[in-house]
Amino acid sequence: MKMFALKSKAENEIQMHSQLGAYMREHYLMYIMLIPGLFFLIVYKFLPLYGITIAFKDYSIFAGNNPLDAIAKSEWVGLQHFERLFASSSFIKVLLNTLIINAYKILFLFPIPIICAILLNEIRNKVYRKLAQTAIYVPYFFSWVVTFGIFYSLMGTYGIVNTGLSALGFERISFFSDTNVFRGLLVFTEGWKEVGWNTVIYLAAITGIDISLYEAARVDGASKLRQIWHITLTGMSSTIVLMLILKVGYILDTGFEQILVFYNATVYDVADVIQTYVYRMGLGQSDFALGTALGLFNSVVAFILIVGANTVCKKLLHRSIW
Amino acid sequence: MKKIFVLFLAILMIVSSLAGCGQSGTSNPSDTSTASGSTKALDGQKPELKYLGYNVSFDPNTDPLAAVYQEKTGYKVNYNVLPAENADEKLLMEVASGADYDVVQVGVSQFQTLLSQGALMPLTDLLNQYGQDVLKGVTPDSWKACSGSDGKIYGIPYKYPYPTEVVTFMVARMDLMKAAGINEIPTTIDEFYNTLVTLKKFYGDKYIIFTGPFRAASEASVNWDIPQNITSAFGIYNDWMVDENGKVYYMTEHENFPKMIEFMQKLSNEGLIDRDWAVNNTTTVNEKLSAGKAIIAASNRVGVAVTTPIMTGKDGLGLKNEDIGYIGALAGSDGSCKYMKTEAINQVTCILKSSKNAEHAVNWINIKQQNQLYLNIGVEGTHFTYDTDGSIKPINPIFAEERGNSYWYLNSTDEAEFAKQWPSRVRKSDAMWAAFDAVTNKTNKENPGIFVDNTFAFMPSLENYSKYNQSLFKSTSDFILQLIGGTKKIDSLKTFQSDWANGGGEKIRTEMKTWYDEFYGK
Amino acid sequence: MFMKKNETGIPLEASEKVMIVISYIIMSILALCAILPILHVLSKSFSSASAVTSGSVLFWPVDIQFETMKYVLRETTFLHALKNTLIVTFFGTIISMVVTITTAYPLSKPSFKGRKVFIMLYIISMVFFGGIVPAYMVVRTLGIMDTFAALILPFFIVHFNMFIVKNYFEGLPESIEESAKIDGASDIRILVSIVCPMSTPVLATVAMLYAVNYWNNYFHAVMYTNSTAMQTLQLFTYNTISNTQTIVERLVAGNYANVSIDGIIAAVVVLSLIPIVALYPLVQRYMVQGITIGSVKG
Repeated sequence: MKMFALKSKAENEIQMHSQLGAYMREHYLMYIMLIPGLFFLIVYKFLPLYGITIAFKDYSIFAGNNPLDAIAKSEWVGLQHFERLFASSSFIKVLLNTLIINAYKILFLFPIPIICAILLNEIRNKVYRKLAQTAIYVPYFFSWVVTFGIFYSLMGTYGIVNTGLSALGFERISFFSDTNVFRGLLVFTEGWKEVGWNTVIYLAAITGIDISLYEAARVDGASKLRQIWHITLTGMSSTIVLMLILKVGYILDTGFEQILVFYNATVYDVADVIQTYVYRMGLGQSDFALGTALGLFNSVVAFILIVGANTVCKKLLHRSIW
Repeated sequence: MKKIFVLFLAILMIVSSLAGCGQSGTSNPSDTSTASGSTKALDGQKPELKYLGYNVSFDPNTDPLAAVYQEKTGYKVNYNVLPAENADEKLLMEVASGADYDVVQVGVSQFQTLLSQGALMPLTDLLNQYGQDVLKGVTPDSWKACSGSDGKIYGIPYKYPYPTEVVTFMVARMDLMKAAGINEIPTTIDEFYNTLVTLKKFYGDKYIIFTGPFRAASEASVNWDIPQNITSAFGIYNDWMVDENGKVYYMTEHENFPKMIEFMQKLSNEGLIDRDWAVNNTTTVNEKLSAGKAIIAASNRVGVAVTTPIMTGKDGLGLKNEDIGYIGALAGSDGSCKYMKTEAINQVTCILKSSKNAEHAVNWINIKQQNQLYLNIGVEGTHFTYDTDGSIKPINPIFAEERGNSYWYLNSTDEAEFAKQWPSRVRKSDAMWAAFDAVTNKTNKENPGIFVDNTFAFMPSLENYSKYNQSLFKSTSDFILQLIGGTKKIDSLKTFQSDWANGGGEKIRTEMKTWYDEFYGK
Repeated sequence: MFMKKNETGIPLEASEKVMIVISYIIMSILALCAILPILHVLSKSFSSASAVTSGSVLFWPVDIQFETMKYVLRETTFLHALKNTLIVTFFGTIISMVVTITTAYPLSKPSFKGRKVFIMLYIISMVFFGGIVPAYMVVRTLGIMDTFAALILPFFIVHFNMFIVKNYFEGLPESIEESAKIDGASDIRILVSIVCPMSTPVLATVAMLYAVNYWNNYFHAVMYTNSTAMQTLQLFTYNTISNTQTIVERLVAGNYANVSIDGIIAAVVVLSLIPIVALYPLVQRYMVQGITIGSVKG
């Protein structure tokens, strides 16, 4: 019995191998097609992963003949850099801030581009549609520094909005230094900058939907909302899932540039995130090791979240990245 | 892992050299052996020098000045600039991987890093041979600051060009002040407070009474969030100071620190300062002043160059020159005032160990120094004229066009001469000169006693200092802003100080004390 | 009278009309939100120095002038930086598109052997990053430091873009490819003459995503270029924003008294927006729904 089982397993393997071989012979072009991308992955992505060891070393860039040699020659220090990151009393606070701000952003901003794409798709006037599409996507190209300048002149304590409020007899609102509204400001400005951009991606997904499905539904007397729900959203679902998984995955890793430009000491309690905190901690130090340790921490979290989110989506929505 | 990496890199190198894609501008490590250094005579052909300097907004290779320098020195120079952000990281990676720059101009802490890593060439002999003018132009203290522990010189210092400038001051709308019954510019902290109160009583919420601080958004770590002409009234003039017993202490440990905070909190609570004090930067402060939203604004020389022309212009507020007043360093209630001298090393020029043209580089710097008047100010009659009192007055706009960017090309000066020549560069703008005259020149004439030496002006960037000081300064500034904004109370000073001490403050103190005792021979 | 007809000729239902009205209203509000700040920046770049600095410019130029634009175009290295960025964007986008399509196609086939392994390689390399030092050394060792190649290499494949294309390919009907296979067409042939033409909307979009990646790239330009001749638009912009004080000193004494630093920044922003924003209407020409159907029927 045992012998038989072994034999059959071996036979299976042989059969599988020959199948694989046959497949590869037939589709060898597919494998050749992958080469340019893999070349890039190996040279620019995987080889440099060696640098992750910096996170566990007392790295001095001058320790060797060149910065690379220096990695090998630097002393191992174990988890010392991670201790510096996590042991600080502020770490819990900045971790929470990171999670809360990015959760708000996902909650409020993730659905908007999807809705925008659907609405834009409903607009029949082509000129208007193109203008609206182009308009909402332009803000993406403003750097955060410039965006800050624009919004400060609009929403600063003595800006246009507050001048209006004050003229109407209301109290001025210090959007940039009031801890109650500052996170709202972050979410709002991020939305202003990113919504149109993300809409572009969903619009591309909508174009892939088979128009005949709508015609069939209309003949069946399905209402517009039902059509959107069953056809448009279903057609976009793999893109939506891809975007959602990545958004969730990078929950620790986004918003740094924006916050660095927008925040100030009076709103640290609600706006200081991991990266801004580490940035201030390492000011003027050129500390490659601390940065690498933080990067590694973020990567591990992102990897776990992406794999997890992918599994959940596969189970619940039958859609996934892989 | 490492072996695989190196193997792959080796393969890559072979592939790329076979493919012939070794582009210009990349260093090729294999040709360093062909250098035969000392035999080159300086009167022979002058090599092209490769230069790396700090970030600027213009291209130094195409600026008209590049040609002027080339013509005067005979050297063609390939100028490169560091990026505006991540400059330190970039510099370290470039130098550590053997980039082929001859001359590098860096900040003091960058210089110290390069020096401690043995990346720099000793310059003592070279300066003796080719750089006599450079040697003579710089004070011994500056040379000491740029020397290694072996006593050899490793860098050529460039000092702040003027030793006693009141850098931060306030611009005041005299027209509004006079309408409220204030005719005198306040000179003490109490007068200043009373001025603000009077203005608030008179104008209510119509104007921002006092806006600031004046800090560049891109340089978060070097700005003071309480203007230094206010801290001067409390005797706080630097982040690190030394008391009469030789004790090194930090500004938060100064006996007047709580008083100073209390003062700022009082201004904040009574609505005398801009509610966006923590948010402001140079742009927003300039805007509030020039739009007529604010009565008094923190500013500096460059700030007034922007705001004054607008305030006095017919499209702007239409003010007269005498409507703009300047509040200099304020004195305390007891009349004492301490403002730090601006004498300090700004930049250090050094030569990388790998340079093949060290003699030429020193020679080049020396020629530039010999011609500093021509290169920085220009030709008499064309770019400038001499005033009756012997001071230099630039001729615009040719001065700005042909010499405007010369500051970036400076490596070394005859410091004493340059302090006399430099104010002419302020004079290129009437607005800048008006402020400089009303604040710096006036103080130097009437009240030179307020200037205090910067005890640490010539301190090299010590190990712990360069590691922790910037982040400590930032956290102190943040703490001050939180105190002013009311999100923290002064009781938390104790907690702050212990965090500060654990965050590297005590390490720096020990280090600085050692240096202080040694340098001043105590 | 309002019986509009859509492409199929079937009259619109009431629910559809409501939907269309809502779409117009909401999109108009959003477009306005986006446009006003843009108008603000545009107006600043054409307003006088005093109007800009004192904040009196809202959504229309005040004391209109063209000196700021003239200054940026004549007195700065803007045009040179623009040329560099255009070169990198153009060639980079082409290379990236080829690599992305050839990678996404095999990975989109559920039957492709080794698919999961390759996808996992991409996921891992998307998430983990070795840091700037080893990446810098790779570029140095390749001998492409301070060249356009160094600015293209980092975006050879942007994982996200590749996944978008792969997703789209997965959604294409299998039937057309099958028939081509029976005719004996090779995988490359199928990709080039059937799959790509059916995917023009997403390929146009992704090409634009790549173009924008190259256009906005700042970090790699900082790390992998040194010489001022290689300066890109983003470097130029950041250098302008970071050196306001020295630019001001230069302006006040020169021939450009009516030019302000904030006006210059606004002009730089506007000028560097135009080429990349102009790309989108071009892309939109390919964003036509129903291309798949057309080719199935045809």
